[in-house]
Amino acid sequence: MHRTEHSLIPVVIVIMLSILLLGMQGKSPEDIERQRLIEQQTKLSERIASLNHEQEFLLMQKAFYASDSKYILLDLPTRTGMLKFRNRVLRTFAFSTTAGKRPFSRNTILKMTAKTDGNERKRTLLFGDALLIQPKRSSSVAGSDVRVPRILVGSKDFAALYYAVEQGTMLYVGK
Amino acid sequence: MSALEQSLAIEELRTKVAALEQEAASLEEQNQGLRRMLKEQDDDEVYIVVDTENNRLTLRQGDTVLLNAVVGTGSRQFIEEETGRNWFFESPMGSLTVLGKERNPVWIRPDWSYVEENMPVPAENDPDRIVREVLGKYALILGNGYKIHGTKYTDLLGTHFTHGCVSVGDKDLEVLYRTVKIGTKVYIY
Repeated sequence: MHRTEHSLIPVVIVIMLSILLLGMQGKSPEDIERQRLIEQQTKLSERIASLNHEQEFLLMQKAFYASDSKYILLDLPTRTGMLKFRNRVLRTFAFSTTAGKRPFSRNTILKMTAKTDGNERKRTLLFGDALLIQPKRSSSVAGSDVRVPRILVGSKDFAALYYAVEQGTMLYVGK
Repeated sequence: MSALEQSLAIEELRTKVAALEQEAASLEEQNQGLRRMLKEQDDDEVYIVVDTENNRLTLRQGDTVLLNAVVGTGSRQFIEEETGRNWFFESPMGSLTVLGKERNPVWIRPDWSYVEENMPVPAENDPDRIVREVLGKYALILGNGYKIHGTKYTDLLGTHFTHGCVSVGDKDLEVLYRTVKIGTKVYIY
């Protein structure tokens, strides 16, 4: 019994080595090196894109720290927003989202293009066709609006934002 | 692909990766500089924020909220005198500064206060204009006649009932008076 087990060991090793060598078939050291470099290139490109986004955000903050305009920051992963003036937080607010047919533009700076008037439930802050901000119980979804992603905020937060911002107010959508 | 071609392709990739590494390092350095510069501007000062739409005052220090108070702000009403002089009672918007702090502030009745009550406007230095104990125990002076002060009409806090000043309840006013300094920033929106 023991003798049989011992005699099987070299056979198993040979089979495993064959499988290993089959797997490495055609992979010369150059191929392996090229693969490694391509992966490194991809990772570095992603890192550069992320650093560029961060720089865009930092430059925007730098510009706003010196300007007299209020601005809005939205953090999509945590669903929290901030109304800021220079380096000061004027208000923090929670929001929910409804995806439109267009995706959210992330790591993007948007400019407020219009404020729609009307009763409280119909008010909207428009950021071109990239984003809408509305109160949670909003009743206005005009035909063309359904394609645009919406940020929904509580009525008190919305009221404060609505009066605090104006056409041209900048908004940054993070991540 | 010949061995030479393969070797050239790898060399080209190495050059590209080296360039990308340099670009990433340079961006990282630039961002670090920007972050440092922004951090230097982020002080730890206490500041006041007034939301006139919801009649709320917040005392903040960085991202920390030290006090949340229900306040009264400008009534947004308009009055006009027969002579054509008019007033719009709105709280001053924008970035202001606490210019002074007062204990037991005295209210010097302005002209609009008489016009509003259909009373004759007295001379500028008429002692009748001096009214005590209507502004609470403390006041923070914001300039141009505007103040953050107390009120007798505490049941109106949370509404737009003032002539532009920010009215605060007694307890909150005491916290404000003790916490803020002359020079504290006030942001009204």
